Parts: sequence; structure tokens; C-alpha cells
Amino acid sequence: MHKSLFVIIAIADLLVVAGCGNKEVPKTESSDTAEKNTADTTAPATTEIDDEELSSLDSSELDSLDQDLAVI
Amino acid sequence: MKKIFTILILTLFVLSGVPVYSQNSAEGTDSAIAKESTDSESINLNDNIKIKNIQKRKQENRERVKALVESKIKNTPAFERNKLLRVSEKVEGTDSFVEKLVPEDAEKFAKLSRAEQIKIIKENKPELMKKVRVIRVTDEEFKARDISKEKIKESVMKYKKARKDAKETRDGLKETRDAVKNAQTDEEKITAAKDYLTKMVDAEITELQSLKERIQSNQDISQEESSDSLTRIDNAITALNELKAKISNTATLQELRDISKNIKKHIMLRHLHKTRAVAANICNGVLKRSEHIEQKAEVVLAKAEEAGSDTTALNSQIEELSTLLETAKTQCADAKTAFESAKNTEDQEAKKTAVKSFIEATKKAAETVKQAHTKLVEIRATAKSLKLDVDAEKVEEVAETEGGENA
Repeated sequence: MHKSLFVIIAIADLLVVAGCGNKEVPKTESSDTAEKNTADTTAPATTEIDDEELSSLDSSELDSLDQDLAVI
Repeated sequence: MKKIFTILILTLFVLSGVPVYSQNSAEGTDSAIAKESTDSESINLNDNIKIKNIQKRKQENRERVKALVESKIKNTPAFERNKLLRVSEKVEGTDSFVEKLVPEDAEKFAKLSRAEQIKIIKENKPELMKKVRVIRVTDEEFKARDISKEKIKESVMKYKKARKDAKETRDGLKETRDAVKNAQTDEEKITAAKDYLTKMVDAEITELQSLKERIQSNQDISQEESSDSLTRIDNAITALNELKAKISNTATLQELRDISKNIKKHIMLRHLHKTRAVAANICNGVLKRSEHIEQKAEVVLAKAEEAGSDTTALNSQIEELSTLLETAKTQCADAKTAFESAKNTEDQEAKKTAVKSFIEATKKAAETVKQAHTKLVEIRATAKSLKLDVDAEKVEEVAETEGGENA
């Protein structure tokens, strides 16, 4: 009985020792909160740019226009 | 059996020692690094002395600017005086520059952003201050004219739809274009080209009609500029309608080629004014509102400092924002120059180059303003962590450098 108990304790201890190699730092609560705060802080729309309008600006269209008209 | 247990216990004992050894090794490495850095410290002793001398000069510069601020602009708000002191820590010669300013100009100078102040000090042109004007902020929209929000929204939606419809029409022209390309006889080619050009003109007129409304309802374009642009667009629509009639009466390919060159001229005009509508929103609206918020962030910084909070992060974020906005202003000025050039150039190839430059400069400015917006979001978050609210602050006067009124 004593011997079995001793083996169990020994295996458990071995597992703990093996676990020491894992140096990964767990994410702290504060870093999670910081990310959340940043994401939650949305600026008023007045300093934002309309992406759809911006993407409609394409200078290459002027070059393709030349090619399109060259078929005549 | 006892031997096995003894071996097992000994193994555990040895393994338990591994992390301790690793830690000691790491400490050993740290010691080695520390020793190495001590060596390099002694090697760089001269550099340290130089750095200390620079710091000393900066401190002296700051003290002199502080004395000048007290004597010339003692009644200006604390955040403006603090801003000037921070600039004096960054740029040598701030003291001699401020010394040259009469109190009235020093007051205007204190209202400029950090990046603007640094730029003017480096240029060492105190006479530029005569061209700086102070504007009382009565409307934080910084708009060029009053247009209702509903009207703006409606015109933007309508224009987006018109642009989408026109794009679909143009995309659908591929088949018609292929018909022109693959025509076997001149007669077939003329018929197909007439169809192709007519459809192209129709798409152009539809988009220009809607662009007119987009410009008319753009709060960031002045009434004068809007009237000028609308006249140009109206003329283009009239000309395109005339061309449409001409297409149906044309009998030769050469005539159709001449007409296509004319159509191209009006398409370039559409690109020019479409880009201007976006550029005005970025350079007159979004940029100015961002600059105003930058000043509000300076107020928050002054308050946080007074409360004894750690303001390192906020200070560097404002500095980055200020630099971004100053860069965007330069890009907007480039865009405006390209716009004026494209508007007033008759030569079609030169016009095309200018329109392309205008588009590219506008996109660059937009990219920088977007980065500034991200920085503003960060600033708001930092202020919030210091229990302060950037948007709740009031800054009632801002200074504007020459050309800023209609970028």
C-alpha cells in the first residue's frame, strides 16, 4: 500500500517537474482589458473618411480609357 | 525493489534541479550582458557627455522660453504655453525664435499645432506669423458653407448609385467594344462605333448629373468654387449632348475618332471634379476637425500633468498625431496645386497627367488622415484611462496658416 502511494506521488512529482519547462506567460487580465478598451473606444464619424468614395478614385481608369477609345 | 525506488527518487531529485540550473544559467547570461554593457558604457562615455550637454542645452532653452512665455503671452491658456515649452525641448533655437515675435504674433504662434510650430521655427521665418489668422470656433464641423445633413447624405447616396449604374453600363460596353474591334468592313465598324460612343456618352451624362448634386451639397466646398465647378460640368453635359447628336449624323470613322477625343476631354473633367469632392471632404473637413481635436488633446494633457498623472504615452501620441496632420496638410496642398493645374490646362496630355497627380495626391493625403484618425482613437483611450475626455474639452480659437482656408 505504502509502495503504491509512493509510486503515485513520484509520478505526480515527475509531471510537475516536467511542467516547469513551459515558460509561456499567461495573458494577464489587464492586457485583455486594455485591448477591449481600445476596441470599444470609437471616434466620432467626423474624423473618418468615406472608404467607398475614396476607393472610387482610380487614376488607372484614365489609361484604360485611351485603350478603350483606340478601337475606333 | 528498494533499489528501483532509490533510483527513481534520485532521478526526481536531479530533474528538480534542472529549472534551478537553467535559471542560474540565465542569470549568468544576464551578468555577462551586464558586464558587456558596462564595457560599452565606458567606451561610449564621450557620447554620454555629449548627450548630457544636449540635455543641458535643451533645459536652458526651455527655461529661456518659459521666461519669454511669461513675459509675452502670460494670459494665454496653460495648454498653449505648455505646448510651446514641449516644442522648445525638441527644437533648438525656439528661444531665439520666440524672442523675435511681438506679443500679438507670439499669441498666434502658441495656437498653432506642435508640428506647425516646429516647422516654422526650423524655417526661421517669424514674418510668416503675419499670415497666420486666428479663427473663433463657432462650429466644430469647420464647413465652408451651410448644408443640411440630410441633403449631404442624400446627395452622397444618389451619387454612389449613379456611379454604380454608370460603372455597370461601362462594364457592359465590353461587348460593344469587341463588336467595333472585330468589325470586318468600315460600314460595320462605323455602326458599331456609333453604338459604342453613344452608350459611353449616356453613362457619362448620367454620372455628371449626379456629380453636380454631390458638389452642390458638399459643405466642404465654398459657394464660389461650387458655382465654378457646376458651370464647368453644365458645359460638359451640354457638349456631350451635342456630341451625341453629332455621332448619329457622322458618316466617317475619322469623324468618330475626333468625337472620341472630345468625349475623353469630358471624362477627364468628371474625374477631376469627382476627386475634388472627395479631396475637399478630406482636406477641408476631416483634417480641420482632426486638428481641432488635437488641440483638445493638448488641453487634456495639461490637465493630466496638473493632476500629477503619468503623461508619457499621451504626450508621445499627441506628438505623432501632430506630425501626421502636418504631413497630411502638405499632401493636401500638393493635391490642391495639382487640381488647379488640371483645371486650367488646355493641353489634353498635360491635363491627364495633372488629373492623375491630383488623384494620387488625394489618396496619399487620405491615407495619412486615416492614420491620424487611428491615433485619435488611441488618444481618446489614453485620456479615458486618465479619467479625462478629449471630446468634452473646449477650444474656442484655432490658428490657421496661409492657404488653409480652402485646401
